[in-house]
Amino acid sequence: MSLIQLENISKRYGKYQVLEQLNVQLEGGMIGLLGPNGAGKTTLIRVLTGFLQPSQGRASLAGCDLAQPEQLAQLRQQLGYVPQHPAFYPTWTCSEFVDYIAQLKGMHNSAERKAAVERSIQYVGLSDHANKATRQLSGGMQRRLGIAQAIVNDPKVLIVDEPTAGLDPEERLRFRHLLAGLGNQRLVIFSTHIVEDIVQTCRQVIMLKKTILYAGGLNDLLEQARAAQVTWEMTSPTPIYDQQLAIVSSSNDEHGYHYRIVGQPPVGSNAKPASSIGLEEAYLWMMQRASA
Amino acid sequence: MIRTFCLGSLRTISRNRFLWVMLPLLVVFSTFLGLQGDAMYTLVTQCCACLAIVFVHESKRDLQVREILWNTRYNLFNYSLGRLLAYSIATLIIIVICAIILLFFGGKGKIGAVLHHNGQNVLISMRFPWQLFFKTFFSMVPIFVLLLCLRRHYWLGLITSVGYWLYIFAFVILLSPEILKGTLTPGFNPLRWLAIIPSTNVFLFAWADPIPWILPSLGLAGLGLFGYLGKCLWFGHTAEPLQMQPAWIGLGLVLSCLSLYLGYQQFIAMLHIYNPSTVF
Repeated sequence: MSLIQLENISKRYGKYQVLEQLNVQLEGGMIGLLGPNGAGKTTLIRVLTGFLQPSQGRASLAGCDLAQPEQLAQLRQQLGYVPQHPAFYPTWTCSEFVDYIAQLKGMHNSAERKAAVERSIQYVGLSDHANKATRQLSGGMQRRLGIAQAIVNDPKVLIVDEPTAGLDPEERLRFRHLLAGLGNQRLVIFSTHIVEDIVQTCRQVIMLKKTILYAGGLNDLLEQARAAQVTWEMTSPTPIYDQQLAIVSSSNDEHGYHYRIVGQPPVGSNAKPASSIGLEEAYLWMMQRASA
Repeated sequence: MIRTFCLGSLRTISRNRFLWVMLPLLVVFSTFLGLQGDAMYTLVTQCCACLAIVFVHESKRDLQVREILWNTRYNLFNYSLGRLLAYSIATLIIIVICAIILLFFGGKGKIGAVLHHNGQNVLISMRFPWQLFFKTFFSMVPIFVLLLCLRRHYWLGLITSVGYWLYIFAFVILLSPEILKGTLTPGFNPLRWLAIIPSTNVFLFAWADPIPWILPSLGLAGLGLFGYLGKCLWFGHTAEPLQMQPAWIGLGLVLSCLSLYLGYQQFIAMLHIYNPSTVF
């Protein structure tokens, strides 16, 4: 059964077309939404949460048709959402905020709610800061509090918009583990522009740049990229500063400068097809195809 | 749901630094003036008007949190009622605090007026103006509704709330006789329309019967609230959940108009009974 289904979804702000004819059918698990800045990831996520209505097309999530108000209301009861820039009431403590959201999500039994609030705060590692005002939290802690409020009612669907942007490496690693753990039990849609985050956590990926470039399994994507022979390795006696080349990595030793290039290598170079390929290279290949 | 929004707002109000700085300042300021006449009005209404500024700040924060709020059982009707209820309760608490201060420290002060009644001048004065408290409470309700309608426009809301605060502080005292003249003069006078807004005429009739203030205040507030809900339902471009039948909005609008009309008649009738020559 497809847990995410998009049929001809388009979104336009005035003359500016943000999303164009999106068609996707994906199953559950952990799904990465990957695309450059301004690709329309946040807009798509807002459409999936019902926060924005698409200009055209139909979307359904976890079997709920988002165009139907009753089904959307039903979805909201089983949805956890962490926006790109989570904001809180600055004078409230972490536990007060999570408790408030739990009440608004319909958890009326105070004993059960208190236990759920403690559990979610503990899960994200904020137990020591539960009674701290939210304005005193660091950026990483605020993102974790965003996760805590989203999972307090144990939702079937969790949508997280760019949770790792701007975090230090340690906090990013912590976030990946957190999301991977959550992805075992529910559908998690995880938007990012950092390829490494997807590699570490997701098995399915949607690549977006106004329209969908790819939607499916990670392994299938790598297989396609390998078959298309998109990555090349070359060695040059002098450094290459060509802006036209998509150089994904470089190193140098006594034999010269070694480069990995995505796309067409320079004419007359000693480039040969690379034996392995990574997601970052497949991603660049997709972006090059979209721009062509 | 209304209770949750209401308690949430009360928590925000109780921790607002601006309020905790302004309230003691106003009390000290009014005590310095001896709590006589206009200073008494100013203390009570000014303290309540501080809440309007707090309201705007909370609206701004709600807008920032809205993406999280919307993915709960949030709906606009419950949210609006919860907010209005919370700020009404806060107004009531502030009025009680002011009343206690007046009771203990306002021994020398009194408010009142000289009325023309049956061709004679009658002096009305009182030391504990409960009517003023009553009317101040109702005069705040339309202001909160107006700020609710402006909740997506932070600067407009802030200018409105600060403007109202300054208006109470200075202009009402200066304009009072003119507003009164406009209310009593036959024919077209824009000041007549200003006088029907309860918030602008509390000062004029601090001592008068509070009943004629209830219907116009509720009528204005209802018109604002249901008008705003109707606008969101029929002309809103966002998917903000409202979960309210159009028929209820229509009924609310009709009842509000009726309340405003009857309140206006009541208010005019009140003006003919009380015709103050001086207010002190």
